[in-house]
Amino acid sequence: MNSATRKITHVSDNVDAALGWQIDALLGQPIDILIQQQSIDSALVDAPERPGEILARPTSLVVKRSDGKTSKLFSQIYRDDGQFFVELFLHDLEAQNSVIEARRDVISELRTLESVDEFVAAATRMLRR
Amino acid sequence: MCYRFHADGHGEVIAEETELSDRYLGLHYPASDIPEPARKQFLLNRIRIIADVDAPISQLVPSAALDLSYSKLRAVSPIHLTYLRNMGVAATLVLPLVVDDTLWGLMVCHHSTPKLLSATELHSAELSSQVLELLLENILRAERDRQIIRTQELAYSFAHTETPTFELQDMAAKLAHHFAVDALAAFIDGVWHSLDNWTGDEVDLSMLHQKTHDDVFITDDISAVVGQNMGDDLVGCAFLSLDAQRNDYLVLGRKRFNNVVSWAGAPKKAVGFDKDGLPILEPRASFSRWEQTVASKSKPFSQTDHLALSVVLPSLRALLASKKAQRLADTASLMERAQTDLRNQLLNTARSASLGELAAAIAHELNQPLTSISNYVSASQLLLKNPDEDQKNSVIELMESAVTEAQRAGQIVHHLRNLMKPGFERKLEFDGNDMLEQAVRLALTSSRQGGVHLDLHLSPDAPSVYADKVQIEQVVFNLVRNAVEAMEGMEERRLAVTSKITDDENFEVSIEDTGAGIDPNILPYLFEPFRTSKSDGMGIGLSLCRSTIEDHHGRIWAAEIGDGTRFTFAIPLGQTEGGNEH
Repeated sequence: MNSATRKITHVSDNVDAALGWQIDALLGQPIDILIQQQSIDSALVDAPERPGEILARPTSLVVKRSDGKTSKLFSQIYRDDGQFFVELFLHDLEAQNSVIEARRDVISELRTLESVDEFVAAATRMLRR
Repeated sequence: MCYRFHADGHGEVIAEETELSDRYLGLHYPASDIPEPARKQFLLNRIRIIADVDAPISQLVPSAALDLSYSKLRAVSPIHLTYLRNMGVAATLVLPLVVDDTLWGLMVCHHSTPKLLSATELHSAELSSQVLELLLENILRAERDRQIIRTQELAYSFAHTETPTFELQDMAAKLAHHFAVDALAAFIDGVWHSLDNWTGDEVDLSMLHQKTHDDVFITDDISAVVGQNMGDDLVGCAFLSLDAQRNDYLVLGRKRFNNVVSWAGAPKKAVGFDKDGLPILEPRASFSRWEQTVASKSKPFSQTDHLALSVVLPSLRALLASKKAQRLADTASLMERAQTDLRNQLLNTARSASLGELAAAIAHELNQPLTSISNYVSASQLLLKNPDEDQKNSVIELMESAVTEAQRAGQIVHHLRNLMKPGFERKLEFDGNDMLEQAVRLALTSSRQGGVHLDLHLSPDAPSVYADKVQIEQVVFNLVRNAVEAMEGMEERRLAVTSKITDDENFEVSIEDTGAGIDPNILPYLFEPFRTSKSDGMGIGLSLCRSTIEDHHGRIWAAEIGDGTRFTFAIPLGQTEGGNEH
């Protein structure tokens, strides 16, 4: 969406299948037709600028479906070249903690390593898990 | 798997973990498998996820060009999807490893069935990637620094040689051993010198002066550069331009080496035809092992070799200048310049080597947020299994808490990355007491020894210091680590850290330990490089401290205090760029 007008400039064509919206009903409309205003307002404040090193962290948004129902979905938002890019993840609540646990494990493992060989072996083992 | 790029751009799988029968470990892939645009993309967007290679691609509407370089959910080239299908891969997660702003390699996760990752998992992977990158960067830097420091020691010995009969031959033998080369020769004052093991004929390499970078040129195939080998099967060459105008140079040669490279399929792009009969590039269909013997090259000189050769060069020049008995003043000047160069190089490498020790501290700093994330996600899983719908609504809140903790972990990583970046002088105004306390606690945290009692006596007036904060932190970090090591095995381990503002407007810091004290033999040379009483030390920490403090127009000294040692440094409170005295 345009960062100044907050109007939707592009949508992906699966918005119909995923959220029931016709593309033409969204293009050129204010973002709050699709996302509850309060949730998008606070999310945009934290959206990092690209390019930059700060990671875009997941933010939950209240997303409106065309039938008036709402869903809380996670998104990642960043700003680039005068536009906000809002990416919605549709399967978020199935998140598992395995990756996070694996990361914690590997950090404790990595702290004792001293060579590239040891490092890559441990790192691949972690990502495999 | 971990995929590492070689200097010529091709890649090699150097680590692998899988239950599948297809193994890629040790296989090489041509540079064209990951074309330049894809490499640039990995520098911009530090994660790439393909959840399902067969998923239909959603088009953006309108289709006018929109730069999606930073998007997580963007689609990839259809050629790459075919490539993955040919490999039997259904989903991938790729985390680039970027070292010194260059794509060092990729951590690649393959899945044989589609695999959707949530926003939280992707964020977690990105954070993990940053931690991995940070640790890798420090391991690589430590490896490089170890070699550079050893080279500096060699250069130092050349620059300090007190043997009047020290000859080119002695120097050549030391260089040959240090750089693992088979032969050396030199061309000086129009005379060819066959030095260490050089049995081939004289060869004119004067054209290489033009090809040097920092007066050094390296190649593993000299015939490709000058049209001939150097004789005696010497095909690898490191060329040191001693004096381009006088055409003086030193050449280090390596012999031919038979290297068998295992490629994942024949390294040629197949060409197919589209529906209109026009030729199109197609990815390989076979990844079976295809071996190639490369017999025309030597073991390559690395970029670290290149750097090390440029480190030793000033000392060689100084040595040769003295050998040539040029005017005394010229020689003294050259020696002095060599010393200055060496000291500056030493400072940079020593700083980065000591920063490497911070890597252990990262793990500790990250433990708390990561444990919290884990707890929040575990609680979410339990709630999701509960049939009560109201309970499920709480999951979002828990996940948001997890995300907040993940952000905190990200900030820690970001802070440490900034601290560890090799940098130029960055002076700023800061609270000396805050800096001191943080650096002391970080040094104690990253030390493997516990049980040290800390007495902190900070100046009652918050001292506002204008200096390079990172460098001063490093001095404190080094002194505290030394103090803790000096107290190893002692019954009483007490560390007293004091700060004060002196009458002459200096910020003075003292660090006292109850260790074994200083060996009297070391005391006169305490702040000189390569002097150490530690069996595993390089003797650069205190030299680095002194250089840093002197660069800040301050001074550092040590004193025996009965049961232990006190190190003290003082730096002027400094002046801001606006000119206000503090």
